[in-house]
Amino acid sequence: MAHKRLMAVFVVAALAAAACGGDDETSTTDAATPTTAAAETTAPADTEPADTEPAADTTAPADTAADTTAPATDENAFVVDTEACEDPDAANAVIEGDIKIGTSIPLTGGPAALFAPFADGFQAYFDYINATEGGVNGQTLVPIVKDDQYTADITKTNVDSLVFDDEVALLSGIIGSPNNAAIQADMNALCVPQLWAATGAPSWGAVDVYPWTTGLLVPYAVESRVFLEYATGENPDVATAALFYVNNEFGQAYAEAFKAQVEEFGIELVAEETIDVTDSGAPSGQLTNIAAANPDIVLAVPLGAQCIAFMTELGNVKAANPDFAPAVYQTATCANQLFFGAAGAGGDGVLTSSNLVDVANPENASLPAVSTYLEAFTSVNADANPAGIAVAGWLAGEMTVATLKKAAEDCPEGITRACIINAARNIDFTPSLFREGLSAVMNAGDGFIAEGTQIISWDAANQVFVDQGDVIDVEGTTGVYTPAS
Amino acid sequence: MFANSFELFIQRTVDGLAAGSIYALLALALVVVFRGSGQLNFAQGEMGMFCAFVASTLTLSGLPLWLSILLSMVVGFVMGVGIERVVIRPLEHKNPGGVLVAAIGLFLLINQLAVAVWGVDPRGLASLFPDGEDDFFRLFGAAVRWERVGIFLVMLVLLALLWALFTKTKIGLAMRAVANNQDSSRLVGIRVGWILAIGWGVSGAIGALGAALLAPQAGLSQALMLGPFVFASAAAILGGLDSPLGAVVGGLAIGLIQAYIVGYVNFLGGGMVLSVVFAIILVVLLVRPSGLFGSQRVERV
Amino acid sequence: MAWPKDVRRGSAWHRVGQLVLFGLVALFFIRAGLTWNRSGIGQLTDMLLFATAAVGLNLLVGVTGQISLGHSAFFGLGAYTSAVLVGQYGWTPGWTFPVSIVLCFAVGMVVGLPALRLKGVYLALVSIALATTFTQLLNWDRLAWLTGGPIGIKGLSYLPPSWTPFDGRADLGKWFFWMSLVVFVICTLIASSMIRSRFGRSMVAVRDNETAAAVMGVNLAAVKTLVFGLSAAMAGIAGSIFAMKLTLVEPVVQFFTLFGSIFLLVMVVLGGAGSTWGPLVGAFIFVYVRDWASGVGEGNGVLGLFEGTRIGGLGGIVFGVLLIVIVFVAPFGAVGLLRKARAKVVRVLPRPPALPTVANAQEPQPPTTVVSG
Repeated sequence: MAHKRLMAVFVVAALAAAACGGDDETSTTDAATPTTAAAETTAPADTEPADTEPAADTTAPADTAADTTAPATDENAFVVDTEACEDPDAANAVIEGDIKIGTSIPLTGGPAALFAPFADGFQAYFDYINATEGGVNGQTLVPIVKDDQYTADITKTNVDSLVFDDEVALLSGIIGSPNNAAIQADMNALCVPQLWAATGAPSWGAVDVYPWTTGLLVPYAVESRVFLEYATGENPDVATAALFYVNNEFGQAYAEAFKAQVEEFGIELVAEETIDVTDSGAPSGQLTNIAAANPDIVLAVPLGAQCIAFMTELGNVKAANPDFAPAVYQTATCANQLFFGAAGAGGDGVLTSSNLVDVANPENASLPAVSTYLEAFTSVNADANPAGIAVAGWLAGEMTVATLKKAAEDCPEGITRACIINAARNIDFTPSLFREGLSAVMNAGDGFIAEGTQIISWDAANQVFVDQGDVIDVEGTTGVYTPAS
Repeated sequence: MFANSFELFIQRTVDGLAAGSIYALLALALVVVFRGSGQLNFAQGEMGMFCAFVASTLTLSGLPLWLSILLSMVVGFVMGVGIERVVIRPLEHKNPGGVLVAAIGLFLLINQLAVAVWGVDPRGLASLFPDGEDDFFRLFGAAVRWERVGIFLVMLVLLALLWALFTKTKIGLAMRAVANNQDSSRLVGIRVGWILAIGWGVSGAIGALGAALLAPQAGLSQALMLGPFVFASAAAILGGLDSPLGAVVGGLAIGLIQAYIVGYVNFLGGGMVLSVVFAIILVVLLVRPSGLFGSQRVERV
Repeated sequence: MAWPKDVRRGSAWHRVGQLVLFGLVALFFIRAGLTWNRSGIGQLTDMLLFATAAVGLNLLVGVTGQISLGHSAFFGLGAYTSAVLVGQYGWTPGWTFPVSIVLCFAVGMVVGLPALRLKGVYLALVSIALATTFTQLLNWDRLAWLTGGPIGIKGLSYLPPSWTPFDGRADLGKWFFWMSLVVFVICTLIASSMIRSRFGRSMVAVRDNETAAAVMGVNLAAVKTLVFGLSAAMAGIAGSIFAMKLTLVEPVVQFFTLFGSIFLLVMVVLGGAGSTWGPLVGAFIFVYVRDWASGVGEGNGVLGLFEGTRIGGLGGIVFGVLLIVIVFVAPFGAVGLLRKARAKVVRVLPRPPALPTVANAQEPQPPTTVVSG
């Protein structure tokens, strides 16, 4: 009860404070309305350039995408303004010798430690390029990995140390929405490229506000829309939906997107259940509620090992309630053979998605990209599972190298930080592990690289993911999917 | 589908008792240590997690599950005894405040040791009880899973065993004597050090069992016990830290509170369960400072 | 004269010794503030803010003997108070600091009420409840209009005002460093003068024997709630500055969660519970040892081993072992260890007519109430 009182004091005090300070119109950033902040940050990226060059990028055929040499001279090319930098000279200084690439990844600490193999995949790609191509532009690539336990304040300490002590040329592949958000303003002021943030939050597409930050993953809003389109395509009678998510920034971002989209699709949200980040037991109560509401579709956003607990309990609840047979989609962050395998029969038929080739599927083992990856990965960490989050680490490494190669070509006099971010923001590249038909494209009017994905479902009998339908590619059109604020 | 709200209520009650039995089991482990030494083992959960990984490795090597879990309980026992003898006991004399820091150190150490040995990838662990999707029976329309019934029974058996240990055996008598007054116990020839160490060992074994029972439904990862440990300490404190019966009642009560809040109090939702539990605990403690079943300690000036 | 030499407390030599020690520490910080790079200064600033919160916690745990594992809630409350006022209502950050202090003081006093009835492990567990409940409230969607829910409040900034010698964004790190240093010094001065006061003796009496203290006329309720309030206020101001430095608040920031509480308590014990210098030394050890340890598993090696290899978990193992080793080697904290070393050279004798103050005690007494593992 004391807590209620405590809260009352807090609220009253805050209200009083608001009354005092409310008319003080000093600068409040987009954070002023935090619940909608995530949605708003993308708006400038998508809306402004729309009138200058209508969707030129969407017409780019995928087969020419691998051509990184195309000079970025058209109207849609992005050119960074280094005058806004704290130290414009540093942004335009040529990077000599080894190219140091800093990153900050949760290697320890709670559920997020599951992301650790990302570091191995990341490392593996640079090792591979150094060994086969002698680095980029004759310069050796030196990744420096630091552990942040998925904690934003440690990320900030790490990144300060990477930039000022290790003097890295750029940052890449930092995991986590809060973690990247914590350093975004700083890196943009310092003009240090913060590339391929491994999160799907919308903020990384804010080309005008934060040009120096780019994202790696399929935006969460794209993912949830792709699921809705798939589900309504399979069953046009879908009328009700349920939402199950972990109550943190990651889960919230999905939930916001999904809630806005179901409305658009004319689907009623009949149950909304949350779990805590530290919850690890069976989510019986939540699933009982969902079963009682008996929705047609379910979107589930658990974190780490919670993916396993969710599917296991889902199987139990389905068995006990034979009428309860919704189409269940779990986020791509759960798309890991280990999770689905550990869930037993409960994972059977559960949908998820991936924009990458399934490296664990024996059918793909013959693909050169897959065997290259597996070989390189094993040489870095033979014990870790190469099929999970590690692939995203490899992707981050590959995108970083593609960016550096493009920078080297665009700036023959030497790679600078400004060259790097210009190269990243104008990238047109096909990562080796992307699914066929997908490519990574960005320009001044397109702030996201990964805007297409493939719905897959788990086949528990054969322990393998099975493609459902075709790749759904909405490259260059993410703006359409920005949830209304 | 649920025919009516009564069936739903039964289902929630069953779910709550199932979750509660796990909390109760872990709370029992905490109580065993606290009874002897008046200490709270913050590394308890991590010890259990570590042992569950041991069990999983043993099953993968071909041992039957029950034997693997039994052996992991032995590991838990040895760990408990070892930690008490090597870290806790010497420190208690030298640096009482340091025991807490050492416990935090152990927490990190064991957690990260599991990462170093088994990596960060989660894995499954088979259940001791039938846990196929169809292994349930109906009770007033609600599905009662055999696996959960099994855990509930294990928990009750454990409570009975602990009761027998404390009241019917010589070691138990010595444990009670040590809990009551260490100096007097020493005077009558009880080897206090070993009695405390055995308490830690028993607690380690119970923790291992709890983790092995939880892992099949939760997935085995190094984060397995972070959440349940907090619920278990809440259960122990609600029931009274030195009462095994209290731990069980506290655990089941918290499981039920959780199920009913998630089920009926949409306003609060799943994220606020612990807050409500703690609010209830606070009220209980203000009325009974030693919990529901804890023994009141009289202080003399 | 043979070693150790005797020095009387309060004598000229004692004063000189204290001044030299103080001067050396001051010199370290001033040098760091002027010459270290942004990363070094940033980490030192974090250390000072944790030390400030630890000063408050030390008053409660080390001096008054009340265990709290809930101080992350006060640290977070301070942070959120500033963040809400700046982010939602457009206040100038500096003006939010007094609000944080007052609010945390008030909430701290209220939270101190259960301490009147609960002791030892039970109090510790209730404080754990506070820490857990706090983060759950931050996450709660019904309060998201205020706290931002799981997303928190982002985009905060506190540029140095024009009256300061600092030059905009480029000097941001220095601005936060000097601000934190000043706040830390003020809090330490308040704490140390409190310990020496009559009220301080009441605090120690409560720690050593509550019943006896009550019999001797110490107002238990007043002492406990006041110390809780003060302790919370110090954690709160540290949290406020921390939020502005981090530029965002959200429920998962480590020092707003139970882990933060645990870490603060670890700092107090590592430094030496009850001693004036303890929190600073403890925070210093904690921040730098943890940072060093986290590099060990990432290929930086230790003692010539593991160089160049990434071994998952090794950093945590090293840090865990170090914590255990430190409490074995330094049972009265690092400050106790330093005192012991000093005692080989100089022995400080109490003042002759003995106005007994806490600082006169040869060793800080460990709190009698102990939560342990």
